[in-house]
Amino acid sequence: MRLGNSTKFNIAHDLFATQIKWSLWYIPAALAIYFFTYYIVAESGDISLAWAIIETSKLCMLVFGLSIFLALLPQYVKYGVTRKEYFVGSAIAAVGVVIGTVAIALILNKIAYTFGLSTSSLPDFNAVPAWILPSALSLNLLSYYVAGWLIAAAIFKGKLGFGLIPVAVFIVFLTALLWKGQIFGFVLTAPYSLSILGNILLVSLGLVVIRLITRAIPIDVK
Amino acid sequence: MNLDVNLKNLSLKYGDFTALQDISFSLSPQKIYGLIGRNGAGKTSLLALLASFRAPTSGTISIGGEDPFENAKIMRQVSFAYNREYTDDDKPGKAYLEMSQRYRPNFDMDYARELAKRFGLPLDKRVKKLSRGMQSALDATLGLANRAPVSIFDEVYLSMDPPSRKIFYQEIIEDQNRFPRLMILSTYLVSEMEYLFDHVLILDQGRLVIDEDFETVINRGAAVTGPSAEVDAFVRDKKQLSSQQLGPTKSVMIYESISEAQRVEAQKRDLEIGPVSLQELFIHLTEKEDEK
Repeated sequence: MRLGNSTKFNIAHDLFATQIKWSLWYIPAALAIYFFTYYIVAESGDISLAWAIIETSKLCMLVFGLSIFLALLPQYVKYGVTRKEYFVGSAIAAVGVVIGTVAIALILNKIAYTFGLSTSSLPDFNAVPAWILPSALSLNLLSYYVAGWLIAAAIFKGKLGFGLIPVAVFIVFLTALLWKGQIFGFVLTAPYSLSILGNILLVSLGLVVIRLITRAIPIDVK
Repeated sequence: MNLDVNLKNLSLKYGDFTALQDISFSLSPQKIYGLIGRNGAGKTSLLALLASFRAPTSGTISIGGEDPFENAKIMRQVSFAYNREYTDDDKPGKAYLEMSQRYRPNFDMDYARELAKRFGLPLDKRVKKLSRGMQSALDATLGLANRAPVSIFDEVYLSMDPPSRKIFYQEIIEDQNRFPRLMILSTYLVSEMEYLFDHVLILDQGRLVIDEDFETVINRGAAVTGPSAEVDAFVRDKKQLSSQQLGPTKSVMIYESISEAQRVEAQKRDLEIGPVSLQELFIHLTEKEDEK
């Protein structure tokens, strides 16, 4: 495709395509593990297919956020793309990837449930109404993606950036607290609307920090 | 689109190390500039600043009248080709061409394929499996086919074999005739590239020591040879780069314009004034004290 009106959307398209391909590689692996445990491990009967995919996706999103930034920012700058264009394109792609992954997980779960191969329950999201479930799951995954991105920015920034790793950890823990209701003994009984708002704020905080520290980040000639 | 480049009092530091110090120059569109310097002179640092890979520590860069750093309009018009590391890359060469086509507004895919064919570059093979010379050919292909108004080549030709380098030099000349643009060729392979340059910039230890058109630089350099005492008298007030003594005969390399009157005087003193190559000038202008 030739350069269109917006480089940002070209970047978003390219990065989305790359990462959704990665998702399509690991989801079959998650499925295989799920079906293996579903039939072999007796206690796994309460675990839904969607839950298995979403839980494994958290780690994957962290890795995606980390590797996409580390590997591709220098490449795009070499093609004359600005750091800002890359940031915006990358953020749009991240939203697309988490929505895509959640959609795949929910559709597969529905199919498996219809055939009696999965329960419909998502333990962390029992309180969340069904109509809001996709947004809740997507935001949850997005937190992990942003955390990975922050860690990548920290690595890129070198020793000056390692202070960012606690920010990434903070985002992950607070997201867990918002949706699980408790973590490390802290208990939060929040309505789902507050959880969503809190998650949006956490992701926004992460993105603002990433943008601030990467807006003039040097690219090595290598 | 024609873009000029202006640098004013540019400096770059990496921590305590000063890579570039107080560099100022102006480059005009449609000319080929030779950026010459020894290893570690600051060539790549300077070019990385022009390509917005990093921001300067102090001073200003202007391309087409605008600051290029994070300027989308300017950055995509500046192409920076160098020997990239492809060790972790599984993509074939054609993927790089497609990326350039997507993000470089003037990229010419047909020309890129033609260049790849001339270099014998297999576009379907994974780039990390290619030889270093072929990887360089890919870098050169992208740099040329980008057809960016400011096209920078940072020693991409060093790993190429001599026939490939010859093809590259031919393409520089031919494509510059078809699509004139501002080109910067950074190198220390001066002898085989000097015929390409319209203008010469010599960097030494982070400082710009020469910024003149090729003819002026070449005309300034001269080797004065003759009886030792006569040579010493003739070159006394001139900038001397090196000297060699062989019995009663002495040869001194100078870097200074010689007027017609001075040439006549040299003839009277039985002195011979010979040309000096850019390579020799470069060696002696950047020679350290302990190397003399």
